[in-house]
Amino acid sequence: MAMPPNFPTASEPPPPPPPPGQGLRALIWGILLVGAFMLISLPTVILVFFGLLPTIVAWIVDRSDKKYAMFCVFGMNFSGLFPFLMDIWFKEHSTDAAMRILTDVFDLMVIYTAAGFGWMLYIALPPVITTFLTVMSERRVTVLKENQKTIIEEWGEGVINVVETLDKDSMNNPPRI
Amino acid sequence: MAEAPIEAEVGNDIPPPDVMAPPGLAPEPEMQPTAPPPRTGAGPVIVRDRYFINPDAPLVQLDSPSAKAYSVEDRRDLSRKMFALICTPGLPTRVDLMSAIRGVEMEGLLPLAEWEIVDWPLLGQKTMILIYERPLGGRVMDAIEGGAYKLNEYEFPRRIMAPLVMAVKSISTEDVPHRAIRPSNVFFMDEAMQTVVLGDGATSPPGFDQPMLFEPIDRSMTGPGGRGKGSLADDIYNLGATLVVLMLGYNPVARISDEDLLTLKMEQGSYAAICGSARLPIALLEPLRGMLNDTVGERWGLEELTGWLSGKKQPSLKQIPIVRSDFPFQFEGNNFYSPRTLSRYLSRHRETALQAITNDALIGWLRKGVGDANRADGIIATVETAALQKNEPQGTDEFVIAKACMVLDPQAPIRYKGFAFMPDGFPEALAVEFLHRGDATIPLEVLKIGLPPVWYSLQRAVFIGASVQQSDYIKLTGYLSLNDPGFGFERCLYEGNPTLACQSELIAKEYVYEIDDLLPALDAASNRVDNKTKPMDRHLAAFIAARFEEDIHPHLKALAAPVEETATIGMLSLLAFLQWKLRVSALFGLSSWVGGLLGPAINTYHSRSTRHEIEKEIPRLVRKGSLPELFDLIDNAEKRRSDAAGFEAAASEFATAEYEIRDIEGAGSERQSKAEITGKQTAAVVSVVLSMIIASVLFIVELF
Repeated sequence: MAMPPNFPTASEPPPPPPPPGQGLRALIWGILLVGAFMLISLPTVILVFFGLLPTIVAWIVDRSDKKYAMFCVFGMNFSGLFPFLMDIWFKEHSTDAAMRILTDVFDLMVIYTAAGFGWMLYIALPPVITTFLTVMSERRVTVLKENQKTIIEEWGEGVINVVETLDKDSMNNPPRI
Repeated sequence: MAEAPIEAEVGNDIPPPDVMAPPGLAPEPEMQPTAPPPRTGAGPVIVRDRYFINPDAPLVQLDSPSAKAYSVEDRRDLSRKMFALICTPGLPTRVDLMSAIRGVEMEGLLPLAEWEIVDWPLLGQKTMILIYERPLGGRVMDAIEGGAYKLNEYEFPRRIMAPLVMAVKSISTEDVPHRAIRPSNVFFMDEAMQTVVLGDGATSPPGFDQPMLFEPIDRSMTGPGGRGKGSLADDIYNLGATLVVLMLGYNPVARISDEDLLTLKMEQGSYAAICGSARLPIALLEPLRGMLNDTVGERWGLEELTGWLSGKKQPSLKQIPIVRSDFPFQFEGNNFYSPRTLSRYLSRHRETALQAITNDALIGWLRKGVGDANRADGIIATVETAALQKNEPQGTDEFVIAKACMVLDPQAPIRYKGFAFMPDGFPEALAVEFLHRGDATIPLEVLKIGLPPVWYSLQRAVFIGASVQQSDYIKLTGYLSLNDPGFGFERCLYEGNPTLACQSELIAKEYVYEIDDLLPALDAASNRVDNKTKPMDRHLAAFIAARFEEDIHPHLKALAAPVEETATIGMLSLLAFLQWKLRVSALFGLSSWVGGLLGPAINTYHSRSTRHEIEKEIPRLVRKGSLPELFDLIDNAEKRRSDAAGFEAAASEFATAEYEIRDIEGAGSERQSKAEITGKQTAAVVSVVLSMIIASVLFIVELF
């Protein structure tokens, strides 16, 4: 016998605040990491920093926990940037080459258009997915109702009483929070 | 014809079987007009392929007060003269007496050849008939009154008294009292008027047809139905009074009303009241005094009677003095010297009786006049107890009157609201009350308020059968306390009257008094009864419960269920159980009838396909006429289990689907936001995955 699912009766608790000093620690680690990368490959760091500016903007703009917008923009932004990173890594590994790319409008347009495509993806895909899921749910409800109708035809209205009894029971004995 | 007025007053509550004349207007058998009755056109009624009863040949001279006589022909012996008594339908008959005397030559008794239930065309229904040898000499009383038979005091003991004593003796060996000994029921068996026999006593309840003159004081105070089973002592009293009338050739107290005669009997004793002014032979005085002794313990028995007839001297009679006062108790202009007469008066004047009962003068009269302090204390206790139980049935005026009357005359019958019966005659009285008036409220009140136990508690002497009677009352009270089918008033009716035919309207005309005949009767009824009516009612259920020896409580319990479906299954199970246990052959009509009523029972199955299967199967089983198979189809345990399990699974599936639907539909904005989050998540994943693919492809291309 299926039991009624326990619907959440109160909003989920907010995530615990980060412990004090953790932000500073992350910042120090970030500076050290960037410093290390700058020592290893300054052109890459320059290209990445300026090439991924839309991603940084998206990171700032996206106030959600999961930062889906940032990931969307990042994915496409990185796809647009990667060919130029390949040029730096495999053709001419110099700051001049990096600057040349960054000052080339066409190259920048490629990089930022790709980022823009990522943003478009972020805007366009969720409604499509939502619509798809709604259609799927409605289809499922139709199937379930058909099943219920068949059950009632075969077994009579008495089967409904079971649900009513369960409802009454759950009303009388609400799940503990 | 002096006997006619005596008998005119009895048996007038229940109409005779064929004419159904208004009570009291039916002429006496001896006074019937001689014109032949109109021919019915119906053929003879055949009993056991041997006796042909001719409805067109009534024998009015042999009628009894509750049964009409018709000519009978014995096809195996055409020379044999016989007659049949057609009983009044609905009046309990005495099958115990019939069984005891059927086919047995008993000295002094009219031989009963056969008894049977037949469809009597003049009544348009079945009824009990008794086939007797025809007494060719007619009634002794008719012969004496008509001057055709004369005998002197010397011949009387040998020719009249001895055969009748033998008749009582014969019947006493069967332990069944005759209870219908009266002058008009004494016959000459032969045309030469040499052999005297005692006539029928089985066509009505014990004492039902007896005029008050011939009944002992206590039993004559009741209605015809409440006279009680009685005993040998009552038969001997009946015989004593009968002998007085036969000896004299007339009724010596014909000019005295019954009520006055009863008062005389109570104040002077029966012997003095009946024989006081009559010129009886001195030789007969001793046995008559012995037979009419009002004290049962002192009354002559068969030993004394046979001894006297054979010339032996009998011990002198002990006369118990009648309890009476030297000075009267005055009430409503009447002077009462005996508590018995006062009790009788109060029971018949209930509207003012309480004034006498609560009168201190009565207590004083009982103590000083009657000299019986116990009765005085009994009256005081009755009034005081009632005062304490003011709101109980035992505190009502009617209860107080009934109990006070018992205290004043403990031997008298139980009298309540005008309903009087001897405690050993309650079932018959109940049946007569119900069949005559259609309402047994007062007898049932008697049971409910517990008057019989009060009567037994007031008896000063223990008598045979008292404990059995008391336990019977306990059982009846138990049955009455339950109102379910199979119990209640109807159960009391059939438990108390083992030979009463089932009074259910469905089969009343079939005269079913044995359980074996019930199902065939219902089968026959199926053709004429509206098939929407159930073949079960309270009378049928009670009749089955009383007559069927198997335990049917589970069936009755189901029958009593408030739910229609359960009650229908209970009905079918009970009928099927009867057919199975009694090995009754195919019942096509009843099966069809029951099959048409099974809709609610079939609907107890949850599964539609199972219901369809059952509905398809019913006609086949109806054609077999088998109720057990029908029941097995409707209430098969395996099928029930399977249906219940299937229903449980279906309900579970339905509930799961319901909660899933609610989960999908009821989420609303939550579902929308979930979908949006999913969309965003999908977009992020797509984006990252695409970037990985692009990066990988570019990297590989660069390398190779």
